[in-house]
Amino acid sequence: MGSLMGSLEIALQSLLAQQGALEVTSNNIANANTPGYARQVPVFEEEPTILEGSLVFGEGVTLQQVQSVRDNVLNLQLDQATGAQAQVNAYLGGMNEVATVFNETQGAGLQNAISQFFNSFQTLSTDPTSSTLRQAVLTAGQNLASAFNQASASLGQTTASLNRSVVGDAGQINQLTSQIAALNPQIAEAQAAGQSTGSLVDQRDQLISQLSGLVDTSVVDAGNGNVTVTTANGTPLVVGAQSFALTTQVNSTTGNEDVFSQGTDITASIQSGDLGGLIQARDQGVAQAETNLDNLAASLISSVNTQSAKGFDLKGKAGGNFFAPFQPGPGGSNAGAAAQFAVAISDPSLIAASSDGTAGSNGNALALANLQNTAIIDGQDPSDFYSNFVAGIGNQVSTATAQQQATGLVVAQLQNQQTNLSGVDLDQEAANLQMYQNAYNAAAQVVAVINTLTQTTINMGNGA
Amino acid sequence: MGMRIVYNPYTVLLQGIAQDRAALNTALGQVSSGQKFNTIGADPTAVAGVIENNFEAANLDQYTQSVSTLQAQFQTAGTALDSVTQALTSAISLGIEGANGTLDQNQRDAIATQASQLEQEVLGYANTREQGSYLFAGTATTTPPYVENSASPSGVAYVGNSGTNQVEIGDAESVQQNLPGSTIFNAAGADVFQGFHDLISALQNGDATAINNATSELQAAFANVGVQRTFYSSALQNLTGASYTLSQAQLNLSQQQDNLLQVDEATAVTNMSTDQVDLDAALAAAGKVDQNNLLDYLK
Repeated sequence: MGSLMGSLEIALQSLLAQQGALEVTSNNIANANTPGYARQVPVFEEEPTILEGSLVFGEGVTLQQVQSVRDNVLNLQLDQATGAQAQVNAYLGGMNEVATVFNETQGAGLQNAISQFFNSFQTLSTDPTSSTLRQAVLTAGQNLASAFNQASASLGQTTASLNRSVVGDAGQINQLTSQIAALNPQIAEAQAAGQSTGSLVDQRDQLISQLSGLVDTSVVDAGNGNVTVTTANGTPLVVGAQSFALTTQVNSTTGNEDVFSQGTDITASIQSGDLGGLIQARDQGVAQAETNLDNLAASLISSVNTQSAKGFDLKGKAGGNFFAPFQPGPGGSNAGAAAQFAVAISDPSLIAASSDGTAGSNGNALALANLQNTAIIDGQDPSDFYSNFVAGIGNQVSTATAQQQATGLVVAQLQNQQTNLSGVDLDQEAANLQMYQNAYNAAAQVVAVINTLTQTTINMGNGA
Repeated sequence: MGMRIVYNPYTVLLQGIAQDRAALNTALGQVSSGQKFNTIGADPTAVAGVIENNFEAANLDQYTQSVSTLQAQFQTAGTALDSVTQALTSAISLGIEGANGTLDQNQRDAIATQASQLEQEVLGYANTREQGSYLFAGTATTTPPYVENSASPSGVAYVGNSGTNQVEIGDAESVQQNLPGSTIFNAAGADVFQGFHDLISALQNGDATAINNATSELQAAFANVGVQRTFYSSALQNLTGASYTLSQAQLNLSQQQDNLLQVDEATAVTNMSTDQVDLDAALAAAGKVDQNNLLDYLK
């Protein structure tokens, strides 16, 4: 049969449980704007009943645990989307710099220099002996060379800045993975001791989310509160309490910073996150622009020199190189052609305008001018090749911009879902606050009633 | 209970404000630059067209400049040949006058002196220069094509060559730039300097028959120079046509370029106003967000 003391015990437990719930609510409200915070809910559990004779009595409530509300699958999706967004942002950042170098809509780029160069030969053809016009050809040639030099230098600067960011990202990744590795055992320990791990897991989730923004990240629950973090293709980043640092090393062939994990070059396998975007911009976007620029430079140098050799200078001598000749590297690579582009002659009379050795002949000047309309590179004339080259960069930027918008929407949507699930809703917390307050008040009232009854009982014994 | 919605208006509002600002920036860029786009990523297909058009526009400018240079050269050459024709007309008159049987030798010597002066004039015209280049030297344009040379039967030797130049005045369209002096002044049976040489000797020798023969030679030379002169006049006519065609092509190209690149000002300004209103509305909404929640009503 129930006793007053039993009732008092139940009321006291209830007071403690409601007090705990009020603390959870208070903590939720306090962290309403804390990034990465997953709201917590108090989990009440009914105490085991006791049987007295034929009667079953409840034994009150206990606050069994404080649980963080999170959806690991949703977190994983959000991490992946964040990685994709960071990747396209970084790639676009690099490609926008490339697009600026060739922004023909603002008069930047090579079109004008190419036109001026070939047209200077057209002008020379109207008066091939004119020293003024010959000097103008030299100047146009120097301007063309310097336009290629500058474009090449600008692309080089973009690559250098991307390389610096690659090194910076590797450093940040190492910092994050060591922090995650430090949290793993703390969580495992707390979990083993039956303590609440909510805030530690929140911290670790937040770090993993930041890591996903830097590199493609795969997270596997290793049990006992530990997570194993690897890149998408399996390179370990964090296993238990150990983190595996990424290192960077300059590639002697490309001059670029390669990314290594435990001695293995993993550069090409990094697909996502800021690091993935940087590498994609550097090794694909910028590299392709450099190759195209070098190929165009090499074709111009070689075709102008070849045509020059077919003519004669003002003194009737066989034409020499107009541009400093370029020697392709191994495998026919034209790397460096744009950077080394230079006019080989300084004496205007050496320009091979004549086709028959007489000073006034303009046949070779015309032939040189007509190289502009001759398929000298990839079956295209220089103007077609250049237009397609620039439009190609424009397309890459345009596609990446569309991807940026798309990934932005996906991230916003997932963040919204996560907020709806794990975010703190002040209305709900206010309702909870009132609910727990009422319960606490009621329990306190029970204590007061039991107290009164106990007094009554004691007074009964006094024979009052 | 329905789906849990956490009240967080700022994320949505900030996204909206960012979008409105981006749109307003684009509109401002269009209005201030007058261009539809200012980056190559904005419309890559149009950019390819813009670049091709810029190449073509530079070529058209170049052709126009070449036409103008050729026009000056052809005019100078034509004027020189007109003067040669006049000198030849005077020389023919001198020949007719000198063949008159009533003249004594002194009078014929005086006419011979006049003919000699005319020959010097013609020699000067045959060595006409434009911007330092000899126009009637073939492609040996750096030295005078006609020099006095006693070893030559006419006393004047042609040291130019028979080369001709072509100059481009359009894509795959070119014109011949010059006639070699030999074609104009040294045609077989119509040699200008041989005519002068023979006339002067005949006058000095008082040989009426030879004077008549020399006059006929000069008439043949006159006819040939006249025929060759038409090369320059018809070339000039062609250039006038080419110049018109080029200006039409430039106009078309500039319209094409405008269509690709130029923004319609009215549309751009309207867009800007609309974007401004959108942004103002978003900002106003952000300022009026209800900050209240249930906590404000608890007692």
